[in-house]
Amino acid sequence: MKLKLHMLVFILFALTSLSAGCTFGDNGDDQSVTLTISAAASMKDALDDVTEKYKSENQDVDFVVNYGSSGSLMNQISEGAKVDIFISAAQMQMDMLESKDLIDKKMRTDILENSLVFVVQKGDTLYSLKDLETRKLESVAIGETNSVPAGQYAKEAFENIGFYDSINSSLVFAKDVRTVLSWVETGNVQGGVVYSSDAHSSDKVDISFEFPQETHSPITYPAAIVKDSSSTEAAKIFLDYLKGEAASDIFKYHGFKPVK
Amino acid sequence: MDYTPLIISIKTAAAATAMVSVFGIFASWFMCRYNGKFKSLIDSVFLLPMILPPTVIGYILLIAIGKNSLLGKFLYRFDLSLIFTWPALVLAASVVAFPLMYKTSKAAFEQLDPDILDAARTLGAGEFKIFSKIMIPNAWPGIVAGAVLSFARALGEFGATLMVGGSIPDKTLTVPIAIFFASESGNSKEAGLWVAIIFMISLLVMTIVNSYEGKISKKSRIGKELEADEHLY
Repeated sequence: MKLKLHMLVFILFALTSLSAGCTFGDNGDDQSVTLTISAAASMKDALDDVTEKYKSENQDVDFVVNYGSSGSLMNQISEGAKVDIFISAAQMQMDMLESKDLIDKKMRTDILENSLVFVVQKGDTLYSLKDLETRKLESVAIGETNSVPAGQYAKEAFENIGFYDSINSSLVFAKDVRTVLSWVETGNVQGGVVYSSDAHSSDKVDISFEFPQETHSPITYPAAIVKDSSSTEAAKIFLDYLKGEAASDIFKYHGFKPVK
Repeated sequence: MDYTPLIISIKTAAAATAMVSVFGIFASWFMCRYNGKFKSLIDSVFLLPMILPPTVIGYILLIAIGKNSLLGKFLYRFDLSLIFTWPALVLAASVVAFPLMYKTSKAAFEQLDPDILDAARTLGAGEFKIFSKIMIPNAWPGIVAGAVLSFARALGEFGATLMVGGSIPDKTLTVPIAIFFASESGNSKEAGLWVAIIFMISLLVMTIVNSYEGKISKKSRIGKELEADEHLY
């Protein structure tokens, strides 16, 4: 019986590898293209929906999407990872790749804008920007201000509004926006500063207010075609699609602001 | 450079070591004597923090000691809060260091000659007396080794601390977290300096332990040789 079980496992394993082999064979078909995209982790939900929709309209295109922090994706591309399209959550990483001549300068465009919002646990009192000034909150979570872009923007906004000093003693610092969200979701902080797209991804937080655009540097997501790409044409068409109406609607739904 | 993270780290690791030494030794003593149905289950639970990803432990702790937990609500009545404070760091470090203390001291207890313990029992010693007068002194090198390993693990604690500590400068920002933020923000100079400091401390601690263990084993070897000599006569 034991032996039979081993045989079964072996056969299953063999079949799986065989079928995997078959899919690889299909991909080699001349008509279909597989686009490899490296995208900032914050885009996951939105971009998954966009690629899904694009695939249903264009059956000859398939996607491999690699999500990660913009910094590590940048490092992968500069180390020669085979990627067609790179979408970063900040300009810095894209600038770095452009200075190394690894992306096509003409094919670089800002596709999205994000805004900075103040979130509280669902059902909690909604504060206004003025409340923060007058009412002393016990704890407010932001991203760490040197390494997390969302934390940098939050600090900048608080400084420009003029009460970074007064709120400073209530701040707790997270290693990423996801952690800020989980602290707010579990009610361990009274509020947190995240991107509006992150706030939309959680159903356990409410948006109190949005920081006015002029209080922080613009939060834009640039996209570009990587120079080494072997399917530049298909990548170009998809990049245009990302800026088109259909994709814009999906991005808006997920809390982003499409750039016209 | 600001050295407060180092002071916070050392204080946290020392307090955590004290905590796990007490709890770890008693837990291993209990498990040496317990032979019930749940022996392997309890043993697994005690060892779990070693296998679980620290972020998972951090998340569990966040829910267990957070403001909306039973404990959090209880403390809130006295206007106290555990989360994002120094005691939370100690708790996180203790939880991840506990299995090392437990495992090492349990192994040391199990290696004791059961005949000695039985001899003490026949002479009328109570279990606690046996524990404090025979088991602990004889298992001492193992206990010390466990404490040192726990200290090292607590000093390096990162994942769970990140979740429950809040990385507040001068309050809950420890060296491993300072290293992480420095390297993430591309400040390789500061990161490098911290790495060097932690490296030196760890090396120093391990050297002390090794020389201590060397002394102990030498002593016991001499003891055994004396015993052997006595047998000759």
